[in-house]
Amino acid sequence: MKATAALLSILVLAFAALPLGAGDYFIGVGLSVLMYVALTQSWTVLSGMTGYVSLGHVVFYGLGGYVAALAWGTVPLAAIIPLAGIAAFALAATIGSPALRVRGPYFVILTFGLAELVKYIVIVIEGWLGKFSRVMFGAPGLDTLYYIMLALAAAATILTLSVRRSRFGQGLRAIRENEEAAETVGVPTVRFKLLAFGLSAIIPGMVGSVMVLRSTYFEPAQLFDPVVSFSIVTMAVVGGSDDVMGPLLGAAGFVVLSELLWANAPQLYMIFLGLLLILFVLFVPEGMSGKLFPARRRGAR
Amino acid sequence: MTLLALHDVSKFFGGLRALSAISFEVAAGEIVGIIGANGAGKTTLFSLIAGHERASGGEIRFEGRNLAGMRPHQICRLGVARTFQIVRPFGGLTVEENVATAAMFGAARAASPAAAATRARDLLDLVGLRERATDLAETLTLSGQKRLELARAVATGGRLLLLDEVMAGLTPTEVVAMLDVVRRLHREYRLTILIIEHVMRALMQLAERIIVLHHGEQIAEGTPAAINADPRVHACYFGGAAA
Amino acid sequence: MDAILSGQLLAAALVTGALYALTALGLNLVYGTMRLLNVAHGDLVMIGAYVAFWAFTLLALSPLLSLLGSAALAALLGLALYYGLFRRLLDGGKAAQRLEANSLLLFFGVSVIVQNLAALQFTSTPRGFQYLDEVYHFGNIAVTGNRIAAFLVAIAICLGVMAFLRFHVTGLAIKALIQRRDAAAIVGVNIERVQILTLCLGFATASVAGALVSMTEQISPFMGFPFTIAAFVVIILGGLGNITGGIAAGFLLGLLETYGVALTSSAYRSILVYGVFVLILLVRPQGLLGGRRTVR
Repeated sequence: MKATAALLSILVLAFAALPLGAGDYFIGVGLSVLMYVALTQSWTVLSGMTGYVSLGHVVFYGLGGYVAALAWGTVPLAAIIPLAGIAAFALAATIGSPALRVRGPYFVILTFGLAELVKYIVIVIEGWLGKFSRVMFGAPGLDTLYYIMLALAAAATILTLSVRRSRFGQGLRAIRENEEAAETVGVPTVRFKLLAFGLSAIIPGMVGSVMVLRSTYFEPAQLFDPVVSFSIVTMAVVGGSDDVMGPLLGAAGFVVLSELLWANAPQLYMIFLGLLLILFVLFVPEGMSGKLFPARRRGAR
Repeated sequence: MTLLALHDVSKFFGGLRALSAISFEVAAGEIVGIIGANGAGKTTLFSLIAGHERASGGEIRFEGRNLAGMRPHQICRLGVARTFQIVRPFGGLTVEENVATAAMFGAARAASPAAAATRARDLLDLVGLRERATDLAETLTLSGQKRLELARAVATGGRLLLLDEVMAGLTPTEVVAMLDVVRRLHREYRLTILIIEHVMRALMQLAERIIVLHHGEQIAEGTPAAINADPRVHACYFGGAAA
Repeated sequence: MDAILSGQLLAAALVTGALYALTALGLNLVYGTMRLLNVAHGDLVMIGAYVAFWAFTLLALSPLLSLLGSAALAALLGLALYYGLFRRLLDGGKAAQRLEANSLLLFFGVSVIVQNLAALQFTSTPRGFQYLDEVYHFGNIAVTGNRIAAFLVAIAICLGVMAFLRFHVTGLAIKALIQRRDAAAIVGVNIERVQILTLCLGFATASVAGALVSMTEQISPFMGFPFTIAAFVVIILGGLGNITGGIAAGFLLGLLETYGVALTSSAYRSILVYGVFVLILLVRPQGLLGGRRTVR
């Protein structure tokens, strides 16, 4: 526990110091790492803890971005970001009840379908409004957005840590291992699943709003891109979803990889992602963090 | 005091009648056995009491409260615990975590993780699993998993314990050991037990009263000796007409 | 609406429906026998389409002939996948549910790899070719020859597979495996052989659908996704593992889509398909064969 807290504090300080010395390119890379840390940590609150794997998490990210795109210019920055989070939470609360009654792989494809459905609905709505893309003027600078993202990544990590060590987290784990037995020993499964779903949506919503402001450009197909969902899952599988350090490893590794490959050969990057996913699912299901820190699985996590 | 009361309980799955006109009472502290051929409706009865299925008719009352419409976790909180015929451990959690989880969420509502862990360890001692506390539940043998299931159910703090074929699949030696464990739990945790069993020898020694189900109906009720001598029971269950 | 429009729409709906039915057929077979959700199914359609395209462009070979090549290639892929990947999983011994979720991620990885390999090899530019595009008139309805051919071939294969399942010993074995896996083993069905055969058959039919589609639509490396979703909608609508139901549901989806789009606009096509997809999954959460009861 102490070791984890110390390690995380060092990382936060390191990331906080980055913009002071580095140029825009590296700040951008750092931003991407922090973004995926925030997304993947939030994702594990639902999918790592309960076993309900979401392959459509981009829907919260996209919705948050859309809220920001709509509200920009009329609502101040300090209000937009929480608003995006609330919108994402609301979406999760609404579709969560029926969606979480679906089990196993059907839940996985359901989340994918939901994300695509929302994407096309937004495309149609934008079509009605006569807009095919939106541009944001006067968006905050890279440094500001960077520190906001750092805060979100830290928040997501703290959220994950708190859930893991809480009674709520223990209940989620029981649900993952055997949902019927969990209910039989008193775990309020329906309520807990819904709460986990909602919690896993808030920060991705806020992350989406930040990223829309970073690119100053909103286009539904881009912001609701399923590649984001897929990347989150792959990072969690490869990094390990059973430990707070997993998403950190996964996010860092993948952003570095994409920086090396994306510009020249985006297809190669995707192929590599696919290969890694397959290899880890087959041979290293506990992920890198499970391999590097096996003792952490038992006792206090 | 009557702990559990069933009155005219029935259950239909579509057109299939699984249970009908089931009525009996269980007083606090009793051990009541339920026997019947496969398909007689025994596990369905437990599912109804524990809240996994909704009764089609009749009333189920626990400590006077009507359980209709309650979800399993609510019924657990009231004080009803059950084991499953096919064990359902939290495989990826340790043995101790399995029991501690139940202590945290059940009727006993342990005040802190430490209190839950203590209760868990006491129970593991009693069922003989203490040395395996930090092993993953999925690594236990069947006998171990059955005892874990038992410990977990009792850890919830329930006053009524529904045991579904805890002896199934055990060797004769293991059966004797399990009998002993059940008796100790009954005594030390002041439990009321409703037990489904096929292993007659064990049930006859344990139960004060036995209810016989056949094709979803209650055909007899009485002491083990009376049931043993009942010609109807013999006809249906011990080798008369095919079930 | 005009009588002409109705007839025209119906023709279009039938062709689309036949192709959906054929595409979903393979998915249904694979899911029914092995409980594997192949989210790379649409990519088999893509592969079949590209084989037909290159066969036509380079060898001037009719898609109606090269579909045999598509089928053979897909069957080989199925074999490779079975021995390379699934042997390991199906023997695993761990809980069946864990397998189903794992297989989904695995197929997803395969799908990503296949799509991007194709994009790398063929570039993302959509391609097409002209074949059998003379227009035929039936009363008020105008249809191109390639659509008629696609419809006829698709129907023929669907009926052929249905007949195979009904009358041939191996077909019966497949049905047995779909219904009760353990019972099938006990009565002497060679599970592994039937599984391999079904996987190859399932893959082959999908890629034949792709060859047929290539005659009428433009192809691209990422064209598979919509077919995967459509196939899933169809098999869930028709009942998982229910082959006849799936074929009927394929036509139903074709009708829904064609008339739905005609009455609104093409932008709504995706909303319709994904909407139906989500709705079915939400309303029938059990989604299992025989309608297994859910715990309340």
